[in-house]
Amino acid sequence: MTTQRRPGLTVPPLAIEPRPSSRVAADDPRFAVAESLERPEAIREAVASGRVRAINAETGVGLLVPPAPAGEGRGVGPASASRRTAPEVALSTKVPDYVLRQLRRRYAESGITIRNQILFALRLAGIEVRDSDLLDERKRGRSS
Amino acid sequence: MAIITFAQVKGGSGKTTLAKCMVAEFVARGASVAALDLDPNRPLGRFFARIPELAHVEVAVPDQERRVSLLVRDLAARFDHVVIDLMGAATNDTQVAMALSDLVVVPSQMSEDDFQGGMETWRQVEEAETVARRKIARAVLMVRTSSGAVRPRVEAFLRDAYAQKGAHVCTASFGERTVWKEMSYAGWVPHLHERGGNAAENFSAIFDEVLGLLAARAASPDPLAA
Repeated sequence: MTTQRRPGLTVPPLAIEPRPSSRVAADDPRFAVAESLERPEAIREAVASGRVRAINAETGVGLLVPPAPAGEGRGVGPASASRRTAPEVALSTKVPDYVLRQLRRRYAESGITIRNQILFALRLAGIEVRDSDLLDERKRGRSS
Repeated sequence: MAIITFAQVKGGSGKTTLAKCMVAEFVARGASVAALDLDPNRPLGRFFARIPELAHVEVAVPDQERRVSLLVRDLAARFDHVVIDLMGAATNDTQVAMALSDLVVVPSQMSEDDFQGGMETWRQVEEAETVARRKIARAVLMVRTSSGAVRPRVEAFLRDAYAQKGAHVCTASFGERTVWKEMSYAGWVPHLHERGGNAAENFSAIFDEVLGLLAARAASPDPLAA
């Protein structure tokens, strides 16, 4: 009588195999979603809802400062003239110190001046503030 | 393939250190990786430039023409993994980066501010998931925890607090070690230069756990998919 040898042990195929390395296709729907979140109206809505509390000056500056027409800005010729639509008047008021601290912190984080932060908030509250009046004139002056 | 974002609306929570370590771990494992630096101080590129093994890592930075979505689309087409480091605030980039991500890691120290910021960030990932109609793997990672055997009471308390609010907390945590602070000055990264050491083992455990979340997400059906 011969003894039957038991077969060797083998690892069964796993039900969940690791996926082979693949890259995100350029037409993946996530990019369209992300682009929609980068639109000015989407960001303004996010600011109004409180989801966005600081603007990255590098990726959101177009929200507050409309791009200068070709040939203008950055100290090129007549761009040194102000593009504001109305004369500027001084406004002085008192605010709680923690408000001012937050405005300064946002200026440090985003580069958006306290003046523009206030004007932008007023625009969100329904006060008319024209795009051209949100231009940061200090940048224009520095680069000329 | 993974787009991994380190997000926390509170600053100083450890996002950038973790992003540096994540990129270094991918490099140590021979993976193809690039980074997107959304912190205006540009810490990633500066750090990688100091470490010969990381000097080749491509770090994209946005400007007014090259938006976040455009940069990530380009990196994701050329690299297997993209690591995104966000600014420590609820910025206009936060939701964009989350909507692009496969995995969002929310670092949290033990302060109440970290917990508040961590939960706000967690909710933002949930919103991004709804908007993107795609499951986004996510986890809170406890940071600057005690490297000793004894866990302070506040860590257990916070883990429980996050869990009660519905946030998943990694089992591994990023231990408080001088070596993380010295990386830039010494040009020495534990998981590149001393694999098997305690610090390297610590980050390796984090790496395996968070990438395990990605694998679990890939293996489960996506109810949010259209």
